[in-house]
Amino acid sequence: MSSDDPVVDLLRAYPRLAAIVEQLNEFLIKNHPHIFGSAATHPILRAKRSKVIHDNLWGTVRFTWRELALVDSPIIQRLRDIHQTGLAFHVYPSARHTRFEHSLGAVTIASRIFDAVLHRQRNEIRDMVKALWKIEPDFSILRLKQELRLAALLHDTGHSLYSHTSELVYETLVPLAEASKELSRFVGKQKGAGEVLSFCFALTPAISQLLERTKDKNLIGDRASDDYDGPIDLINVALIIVGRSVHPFLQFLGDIVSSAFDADKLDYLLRDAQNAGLPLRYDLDRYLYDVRIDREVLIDDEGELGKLYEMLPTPAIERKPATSQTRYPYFDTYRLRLSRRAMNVIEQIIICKMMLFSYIYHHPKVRASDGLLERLLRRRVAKWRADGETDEIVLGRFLKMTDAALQFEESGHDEITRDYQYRLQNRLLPREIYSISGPSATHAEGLLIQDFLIDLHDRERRQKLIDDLEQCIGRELLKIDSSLGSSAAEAIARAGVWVDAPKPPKFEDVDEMIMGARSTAAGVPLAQLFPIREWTHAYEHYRYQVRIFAFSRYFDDAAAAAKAAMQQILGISSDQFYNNIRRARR
Amino acid sequence: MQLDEEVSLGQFVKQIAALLQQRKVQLPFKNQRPWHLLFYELKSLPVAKGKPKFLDDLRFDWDSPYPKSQELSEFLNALHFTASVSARNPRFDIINVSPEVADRWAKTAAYDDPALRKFLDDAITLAEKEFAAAEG
Repeated sequence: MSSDDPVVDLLRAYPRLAAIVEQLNEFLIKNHPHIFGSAATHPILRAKRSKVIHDNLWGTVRFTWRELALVDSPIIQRLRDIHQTGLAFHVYPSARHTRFEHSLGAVTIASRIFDAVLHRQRNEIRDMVKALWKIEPDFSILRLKQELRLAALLHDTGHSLYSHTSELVYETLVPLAEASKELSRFVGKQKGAGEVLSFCFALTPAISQLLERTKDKNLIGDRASDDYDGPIDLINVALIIVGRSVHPFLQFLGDIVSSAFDADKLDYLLRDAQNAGLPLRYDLDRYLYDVRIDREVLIDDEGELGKLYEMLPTPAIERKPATSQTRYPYFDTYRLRLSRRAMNVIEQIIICKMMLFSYIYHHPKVRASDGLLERLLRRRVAKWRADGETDEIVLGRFLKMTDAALQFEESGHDEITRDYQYRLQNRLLPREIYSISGPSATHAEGLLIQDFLIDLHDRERRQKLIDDLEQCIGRELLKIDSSLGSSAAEAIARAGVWVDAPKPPKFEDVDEMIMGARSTAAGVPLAQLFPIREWTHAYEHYRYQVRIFAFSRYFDDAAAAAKAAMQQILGISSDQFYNNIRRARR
Repeated sequence: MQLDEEVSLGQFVKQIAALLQQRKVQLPFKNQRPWHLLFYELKSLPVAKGKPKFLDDLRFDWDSPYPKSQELSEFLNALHFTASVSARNPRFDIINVSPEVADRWAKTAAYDDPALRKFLDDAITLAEKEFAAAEG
């Protein structure tokens, strides 16, 4: 039985997502009643039809009244206090840019990609939307552009303090972990906790009501030719955020916001590089010149996509049976693609990404800062749970927290948490004691190091291996200094010791980004045209490092303990090996 | 004795790679599609004694012309950049496992559990078919 609310109908089969939408809605109403509550007074004055904002990357950019209603609300304003690159400013002092300007930048780039595609393929897009809605196609196109821009604006609203560092902690909260599995099934691709929150924010009644109220205020200002005041579909906005859309023909909208070369990436690569002061660039004009949509197939053997599209009010599309070519049932779709002529810009983007990982995201001091914050947050969550707080309450805390929480929140009575907070505020960071990579092994221990490194990329073995190694270091530390505590866990926490095995950057999702030779063919794997694997793997072989950290005060003791632990766990006894991987501080 | 619940994705991939190489089957590297199709087929097999538990948890994305597991992609890439396998230059089409490494990996596949052993044998037969089709 259908209700009056399409979101309720859509999420009927997905109770975890429905529960998150409800919690987010209550959160917005409770914390900002004048903006989102039932007796909201916001906006108080008539809203402007549009405004321009000056962005340090993209220049003067125009935003519509719907976007401004959200920008001027706490849901976007809180992003002003969430640094885009977490604690990277501990290494690059000027990397102080936030999710706020990145979100505005993503709107700008998403819009430019849409315009570039429309400029080149207007007739094709008009025919496509005419097949979906029996109204003037240009009107539908304006609506889709507005929905795309709103999706880009809202795509990072799920972030909490210091961006991805806190996500590693709140993703373990049971309601979010379960909702993440549900969303991955719902949209047929893996989605993390941050994306769950951004998706669910877009579906809250609080947001749709704010937009309705703003519209009712009689907008001020002249209308531009591409302004759109008609109704919008927030379900489409939510789906675009997670890389889908309300119909397989409109899949390219999801690709613009969430795919291998999406607006998100095109903005953050340049923004992170520029704000950190790194001279990395790519040719956006060339990208826009070569970007287009291409007719392809979207396979759906498990039927989850079919289920999604059936639940939506958009005109149905046939799920075609498997053919010898597709092997699985499929939908016809339009994907965002680059032509082969864009090879140079693809190379530039890949190189930019590799370098940013090496220079910023995986810089040892950035990893030390992020790792310390992650451990601080884990201790806090453990304490809140021990005090009887449910995971829903803890999630509420993360929704409230921004980076200021690190400066101003009381740490409570836990001495270790207080120490970590003080250290992060004053950049008293742990130091690398060992750094292990593929080339660090000589022939004698090569196989053992390969086993160790490869097991760290095997999900079922990874965490156990790290836990075993850390526990062993803790036991060895206690043998050296029994004052460090009564357990291995306490000893490593006090000495600031952990094993850091970051996830390497992903490049395989760029595989199908190149257009097929014929418009109906699937994309050509990039690896067939361009030595992407050779480059990225050679780079990762030399630059991917597993590190062991410790506070300076415990540097020598931790080094001795870690060596003893690695001898036991990795089975490597050669002193020469440990001399090679040891970071010299004296 | 290793049980089906204990075998990880990584261990299973390594065993398949080692055993196929011993049978002189070429292991695709640049084109990862056959690997994804193989593991999707293995996941789709009915639950039976010996079927490793990791296959039930292995997620596939429906966003490509074939089902694609991010976890499998990441592991295949890591096999190469950690230098556990090499890929033949200059085109990197095929994985090469050194005889020393292949022996080491194959030895760990000598399961006592007959059901798991049987599942691995069936997987090898499927892999031979899938990889040969990719070559053709």
